[in-house]
Amino acid sequence: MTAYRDIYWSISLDPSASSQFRVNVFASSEDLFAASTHNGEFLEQGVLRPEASESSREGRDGWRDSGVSATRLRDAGMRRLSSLPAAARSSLGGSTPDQPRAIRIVADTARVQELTWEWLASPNAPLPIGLDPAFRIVRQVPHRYVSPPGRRSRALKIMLVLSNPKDEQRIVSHREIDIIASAARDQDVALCERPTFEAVAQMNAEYQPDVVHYVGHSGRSSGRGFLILHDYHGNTRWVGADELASALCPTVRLLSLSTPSTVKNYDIFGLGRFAHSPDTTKLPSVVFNQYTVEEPSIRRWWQVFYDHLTAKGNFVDAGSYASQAVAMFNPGAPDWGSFAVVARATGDHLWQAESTTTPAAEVAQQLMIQLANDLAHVSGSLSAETRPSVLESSAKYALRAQSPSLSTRKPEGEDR
Amino acid sequence: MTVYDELRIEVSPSHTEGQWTTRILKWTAASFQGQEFTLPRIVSAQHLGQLRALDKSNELLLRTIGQAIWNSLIGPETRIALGVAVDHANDAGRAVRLVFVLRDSDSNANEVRLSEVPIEALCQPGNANGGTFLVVEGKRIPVSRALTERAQPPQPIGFPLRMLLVVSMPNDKPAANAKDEATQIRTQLKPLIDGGTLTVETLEQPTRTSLIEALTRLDPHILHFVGHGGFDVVGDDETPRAHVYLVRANGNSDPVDASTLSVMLGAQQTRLVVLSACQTAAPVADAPPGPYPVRALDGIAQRLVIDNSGVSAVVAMQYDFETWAAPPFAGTLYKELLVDDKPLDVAVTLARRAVIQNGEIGRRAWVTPAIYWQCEGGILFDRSALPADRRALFEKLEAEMGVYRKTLASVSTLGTLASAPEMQTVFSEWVAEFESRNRQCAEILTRSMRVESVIASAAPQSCSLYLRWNGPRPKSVSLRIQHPSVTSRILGTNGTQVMSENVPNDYRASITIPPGLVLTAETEIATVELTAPNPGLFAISIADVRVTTDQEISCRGLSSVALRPF
Repeated sequence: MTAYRDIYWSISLDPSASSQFRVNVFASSEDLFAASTHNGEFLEQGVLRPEASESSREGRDGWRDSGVSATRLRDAGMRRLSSLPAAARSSLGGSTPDQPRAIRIVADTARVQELTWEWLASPNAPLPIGLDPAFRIVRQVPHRYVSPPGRRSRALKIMLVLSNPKDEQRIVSHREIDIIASAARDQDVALCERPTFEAVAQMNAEYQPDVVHYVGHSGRSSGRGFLILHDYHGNTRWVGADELASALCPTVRLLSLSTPSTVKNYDIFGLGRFAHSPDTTKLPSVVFNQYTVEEPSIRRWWQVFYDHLTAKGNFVDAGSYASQAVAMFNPGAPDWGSFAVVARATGDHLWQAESTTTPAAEVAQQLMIQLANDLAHVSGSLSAETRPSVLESSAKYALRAQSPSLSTRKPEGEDR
Repeated sequence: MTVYDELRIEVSPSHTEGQWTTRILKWTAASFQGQEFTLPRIVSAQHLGQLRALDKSNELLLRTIGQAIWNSLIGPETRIALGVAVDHANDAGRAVRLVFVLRDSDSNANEVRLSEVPIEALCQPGNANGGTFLVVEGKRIPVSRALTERAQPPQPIGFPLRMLLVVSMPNDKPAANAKDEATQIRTQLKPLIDGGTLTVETLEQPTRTSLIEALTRLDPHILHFVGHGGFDVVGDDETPRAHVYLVRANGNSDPVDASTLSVMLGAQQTRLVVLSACQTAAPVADAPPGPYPVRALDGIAQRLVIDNSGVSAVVAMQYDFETWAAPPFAGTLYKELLVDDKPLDVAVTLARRAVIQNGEIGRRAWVTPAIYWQCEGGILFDRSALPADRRALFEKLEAEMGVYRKTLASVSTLGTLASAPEMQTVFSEWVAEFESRNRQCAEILTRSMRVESVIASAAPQSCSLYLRWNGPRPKSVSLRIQHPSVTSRILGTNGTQVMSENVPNDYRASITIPPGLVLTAETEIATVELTAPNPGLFAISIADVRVTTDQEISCRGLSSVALRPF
């Protein structure tokens, strides 16, 4: 299991100045959570002033749909790094591929979430940070407790949701399916075509996938992201993160959100907004596209990603290797930077080999972690007298979720 | 709950001797408000002496005295105002209460002090029976006394309500029916005591020390004193004063005057004091003469209400209270006040009727209790509020229940995994945690709806809804049902009627309780049948329960359940 040297950049809007953000640097998630109750201490603090061109206000027909050159990517990455406060820049030192630095970006503002952090680049380094094996760029929706890794199957069970409503720009379904199916050829892929919300929920319950891979349009409304599924007539049905979360089986530890390659996404920003839903939304960790990607890059990225994920179980590592593979395959193309990882309640390490956990125990662990996080969350609204007991219950459940007593060793080779 | 229009009349000695001036202080009809009328004082010292000496039934005398009081206080104009007011209120579905503000003079020169007049015996002249007692006959208009203009709002309290029942029988005083009265009180309040709404602690043979200790420890909302009282010169102070008798260490009487009792109560939350002791409401007319004038406000009741002891209302006795009358009076008073949520003056009125039912209308006993109060609308306690610490606990429990409910609902997406032993174990545990908190919430509120909750494993499923209720008789129950199933219906049981059958996933159902349904500790009132989308475990949520009685009560009993086969 890869051991990261974590650094947290908590970036929030600075109310004292427009278009300016405070960056608080923390050494650990404990410090991050403690700071939320005014008991934590950050390592450093500074100010970020992102460029206006990086914002989502540029509209749907901007560079995210039309593409960006490698030069622009590097220039933007360097400007982004230089716009960070010294405290954040200094935290990048001393990283090696053996002990990579995981830069965990915590932001609750869309403007910050939508910055292509993977492009961060130093003028002294040949590679952007997103391609540097000594680093991992992780967008973090912090959870107090993270699920322990689940049992690894010989192949991942991937539920492919291909959404192509009649009243939206039509996706070339068979090509999109072929792209993902071929990339995940060594996995166990089941297709949910013509996906109504109810069909997605039902298939989740029956198939109990490890991964739900969505290919389709997305949208934004009231600041939130939506996936665009079908209604019973085959027309668009917008589904928000909370709604989809209610339909996901607890076995799902990863949500992959792919923008179509055969048609322009209705609003690609919707994927990122969806992925960055607040911690109260019970989504697993997410991978999503930030901008349009060419088909060959899509195939390569997902193939390397799923292969590595199956082998090692860490989706952050898998994403990093996949991006490196795409960049090597097509040097100079910006496609690699489109793929972003968001660590949520299922954490970085989704599966592990040689686990003795039974499927049911895994699910119980997941739910227990979910319960622990929810209790911790609601404790914030309680009085000072009653809050400690709720936090204690929360911690108790988190501890139990890690306990081997929930596991039962199954005979070798038995699958779900 | 019946709304009462208040007619508030101030009576004060007129400048002309032998006359009283009445002024309408408050009334819904603006034309009468502020008007003054001067009336000759008809009720005499002889009347009061006769009443004080009445120890057997004499209906004619009681009505005669009552009419004399009426004619002294209710002039022709006031009578018209009262008649109009009653008709107007009744047309609007409201009732009327009469509140007297008796502005007595401190002078001992008056033959009859206003504070001595038993306004409770008001008898309206004019029918063949010798008149109609205003309080217990005809319209049965509650009558009470206010001493100040200020009105305390209802006291927010949490459960349980606390009562200190003090039973004092000194050796050197006549035997009183104290134990019977205490037993009657406990009997009438048993539903509340059993349901945890009310705690009653009894203090027998109270010394000053033990009374102070009990008041400090229990901090009761209600103090009920059963024993003896009197009006006399006590100790070295030559000022005659009203007092109650506590008990000394040797078992003999220890007189405690109003001021001392007021100080004892000053640090407590006590809002209602009931003095089932003789002569605790007003000084006697034949107080011993002396160099010190007898102050009109030397009755214990008046002193407790006037002083800043926090007491909102006192029910005290103007005369010797017959021992046979005390138990039905006290039992009915608390049942109406605490079980049926009646305003204090209405509860006392009903208690007077209970005394008549146990004796005769010609006996003085039903006139004897007098109410002195300064609470808004006769409502002493606001039981919808929770004190801060219980509110914090309640909110914690509700927050936790919300989390468990959501987690249990997640199980509905598991399909076959749900039946695995690991899942069954944790699911059972979480259901138990949820139900434990639900019970705790119910204990805090004491009024709850319990829902059967047992793990199920097949579909279609039903669950039973049970009502556990400790309050006024409910007329209907409405609740919000949320569930993941595709189809469902709610069926009434035991004669209840339900508003709708096909229940969407998030729906408010209304269940009408028939008048004939006998409500026990737990009464089944409906069943909910649900058809699950997939065989397996799932959860439903019952929330935002509202029980309608005479007043709408929002009962926040919640339950999220799995189902079991019918």
